[in-house]
Formats: sequence, structure tokens, C-alpha cells
Amino acid sequence: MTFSTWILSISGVVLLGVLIDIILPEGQTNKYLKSVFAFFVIFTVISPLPKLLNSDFSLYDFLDTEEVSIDISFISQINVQKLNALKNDIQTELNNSGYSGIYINITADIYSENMQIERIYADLANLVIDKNIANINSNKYEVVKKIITQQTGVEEGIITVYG
Amino acid sequence: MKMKNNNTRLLIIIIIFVITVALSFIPHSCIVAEDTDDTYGELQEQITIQLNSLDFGEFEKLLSDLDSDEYKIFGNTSFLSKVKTIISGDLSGGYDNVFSAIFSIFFSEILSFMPLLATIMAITILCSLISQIRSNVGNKSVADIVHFVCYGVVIVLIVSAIMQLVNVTTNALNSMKTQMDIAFPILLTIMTALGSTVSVSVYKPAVLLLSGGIMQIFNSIVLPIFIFATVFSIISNLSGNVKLDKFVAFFNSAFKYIVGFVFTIFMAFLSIQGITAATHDGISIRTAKFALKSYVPILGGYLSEGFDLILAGSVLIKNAVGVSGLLLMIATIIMPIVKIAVFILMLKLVSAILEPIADSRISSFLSSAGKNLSMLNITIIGVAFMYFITVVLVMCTSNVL
Repeated sequence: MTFSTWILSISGVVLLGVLIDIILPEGQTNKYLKSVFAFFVIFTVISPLPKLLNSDFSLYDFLDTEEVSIDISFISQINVQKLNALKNDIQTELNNSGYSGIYINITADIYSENMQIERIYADLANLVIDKNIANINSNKYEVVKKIITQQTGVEEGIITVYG
Repeated sequence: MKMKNNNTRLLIIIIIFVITVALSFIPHSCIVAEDTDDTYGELQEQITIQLNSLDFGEFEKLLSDLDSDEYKIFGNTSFLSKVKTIISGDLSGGYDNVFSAIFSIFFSEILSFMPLLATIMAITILCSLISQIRSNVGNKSVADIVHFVCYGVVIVLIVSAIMQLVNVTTNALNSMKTQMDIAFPILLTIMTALGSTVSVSVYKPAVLLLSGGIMQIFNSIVLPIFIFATVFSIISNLSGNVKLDKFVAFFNSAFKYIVGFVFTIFMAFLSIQGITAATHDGISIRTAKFALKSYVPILGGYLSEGFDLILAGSVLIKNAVGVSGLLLMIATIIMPIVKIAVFILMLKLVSAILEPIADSRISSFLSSAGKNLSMLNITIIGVAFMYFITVVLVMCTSNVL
């Protein structure tokens, strides 16, 4: 029995009571009939209670819902922006140290919510060393690697310097 | 009963106070940038790029469904241009628009309910005149039948109006659910891009609970309770013998307890967890900024100036989307709330006018129907407030740069 049938049956019983009230004449019978009728109303009102207690009501029916989907295309867009900013910063830092013309390439999982750098490549093919700032005698690969490590905080192992 | 009412009211006031105080402790940081046109231009460019990669199509579709008064409350613009205006810092204006829209809704609702209530008044006055004349003759059951017929006509009129209001309420709830389903993925995406992973992990289940479970509770438990209470207030006034007034009181208090519990528990958990997560994320981003070694996995703990610019753009967009979403929400719920409030007020007025002349059962039915209808308004306002608080918490989170 659903709630709507319950409500309907109560309304029906009450309507019946109104009819009885109107049709029956005043007198001794009317009084008894009214008390019998009151019992009837009580019975109708409490009839769904035992079923309500026995039913297996589960709150999880209310709480199962679909997922909130994160817009990955926006995340990847932002991640690409972040990588570009990082690339620019590394290049600026290298320029300040006297190494210009280095081509930096960073690979990372841009479709991940927690993006991590996979590898950093530094191409020294077009390297121009400013002799006023940088020490020409030191190993250029090691120096570039060191600058990138300092700048980004990544482990030295994932940086590849070539060219 | 009176004491209990006062206690719950006190509790609600305390909760709202605590939330307000807690919100005021969230650090509001400002974006410190070099005050040059160059940086500003870069920021603008950044915002344009990010805005283009977000999809506001669903919001625009919702906006096109609003009618002219509601559209006026939103500000007569498209969603994207609203977001752009808010990003550019132009938050002024709009108040006169909102108030004039509310007034025009208010008066048009009064006009639309006027014929219905005039009919009710006319019928009731006519019937009470007839029954008074008849009762001089001395036949009780004729007077009863006259009352019955009159009451039946009043019920048909009132119930049709109430069903219309229930429809309006369901539509408002569904529209809010649609808005949540659109707004929260966008907001959480931007938060993820900002690196506030802890906050996102807190808000994801909360948002799901709000747009799924809590909406379900409101739709399938709270609204039926309103209908039961209305039915019982109709049949308890049907005859003088069968009294079911206490059932109306029972459903009223059941409604209060369910809404109160859902509201309090959701608010308490969300605000505490949200504030804690916001602090955690803020501190980890700051630590990443100042520590040289890699501490947080995002980009090896490196946050540069160019990086800050990207994040600043995202923060501005997140807050602007939040504000615009709330404006859209307010625009959709104002019409139902004003409509129901007007109907409640007019029902009470009519019942007060009819009290001296009509049968006491009719006027008591009208006033109890008015009392029950306030449940619908509480339902809409409650859901709207939960949505509001959630969006405000999301907006306050991950602003630390």
C-alpha cells in the first residue's frame, strides 16, 4: 500500500462520515454509530503502520548518484600553459647565466589532474655562450643540467642535455 | 511546543553565526603583481585563453528559458559576458533592476490571484447567507449540505491553485539541480587546475550529496509531506465530527525536523571540512612556493611568476563563474518564492475577512492551507541556501597565491 492510497482511503472514510452525519436522523442510534465510525477511522489511519515497520527501507536508494566529471580539456589547457611558463622561466634563467639559444622541451602527462614532469630535454645545438658571464672552460652539459635542476626542483635523472 | 520552537530558532541563529565567523577567517589574499600594463595585458590574455576553453553552453541554454523579469534580475546579458564583466571588476549596479523586477513580479502575482480569491469570498459569503436564512427554518442537515457544497467549491478552487504552486516549486528545485550539475563540474575543474586537490576531494562527494541525495530527499519525502498536510487540513475541516487536526501538526513537525536535520548536518560537515581543506591547500601551495626542493609533486614544487599569472586568471574565472551561477540561481527562484508568498498572504487575508461571516471551518481551512504553503517556500529557500553556501565556500577556497 502506498502513501497515496492511504491518504485516499482516509479521505474516503471521512467523506463517508460526513454522509452519515447528514443522512442519519438525530437520536440514540446516531451516537453509537458515530463511536463505531471513530474506531473505523482509527483503523484506517493506523493500517499501514505494521507494513511500514516490516519494509526494508534503504537510505542508499536516495544516495546513489552519478559522478561529478572534471573537464579534462580545460585541465590539459591549463597544464600546457603551466609548462610554457616553466619553459620560459628556464630559458630566462639560462640566458641570465650566459647560455642562450637553448631549445627546451618538457614532456609531462598533461591529461592528468596531478601533472608530473616526465622528462626535460635541453637541445644545445644552437648554443651561444656569453663569455662575459659564463665560464667557458666548465662542462656546458653539467652546468645547464645544474641550472635546470635548481630552477625546477626536479631530479637530475630525468633531465637530458644533448646537442 | 513554544519552547521547542524557540530552541530550534536559537540553534539556527547560532549555526548561521558560526558559519559567518568561520567564513570571515578564511584568508583573503590579493594578487600581487607588478603594477605594469604589461602584466595586466598578460593576465587579460591568460583569462581570454582560459575562458575560451570552458564550455558555458548549458548555462546559456538555461538563461534562454528565463522570462523577461528573471532575465532582468540576471542583468540582461549572456552568461559569458556576465562572467567577463565580473572579472573586470564591475560589480556595481543591478540592484534597481532586481528590485524593480521583484516589484513587477509581486504586483502581477497579486493581480493573477485576485479573481480566484474574489470568487472564494463571493461563494463563501453567499453560502453563509443562505445557511443563515435556512437555519431560521430549523433544518440542521440542510445547513450542513449547504456548507458541504460551499466547502467543496472552495476546495476545488484552492487545490487547483496549490497544485499549480507545487508544480512551480518542483520546477524551481529541478532547475536548481540542473544548475548545480552544470556549475559544480566547472568550478571543481578550475579548482583542480589550481592544484587544490584536497579541497576537490572534499567538495566532490559533498556536491554529489547536494545535487543527488538531498534533492532526492526534498523531492520524494519533503514535497509529499506537504501534500499530506494539505490533504489532512482539507479533510479535518470537512466535518465537525471527524477531527484530524493533529495530523496536520504531526506532518508540520515532521517536515521541520527533516529539513532541519538535512540542513544542519550538511552545513556543519561541509563548512568544517571545506575550511580545513582550504587551509591545507593554501599552506601546501605556499610551501611549494618557498621551498627550493621539490615538496609537492605539482611541477616539482616550482611556481614562478608566469605560473602565478595562470593561477590568478583561474582564480578570477572561478569566482566570476561562482557569482554568475548564484545570480542565475537567484533569478530562477525569486519568481516562485514571491508567487507562493503572495498566495500565502492573500489566503490569510481572505480567511481573516471571512472569519466574522462564514463558517469557522472554511476560514480555519484557508488559514491552515496558508500555513502549509510556507513549507514550499522553506523548501526552495533551504535548497537555495545550501547551494549558495557551497558555492561561497568553493569561491573562498584556493584563493591563496
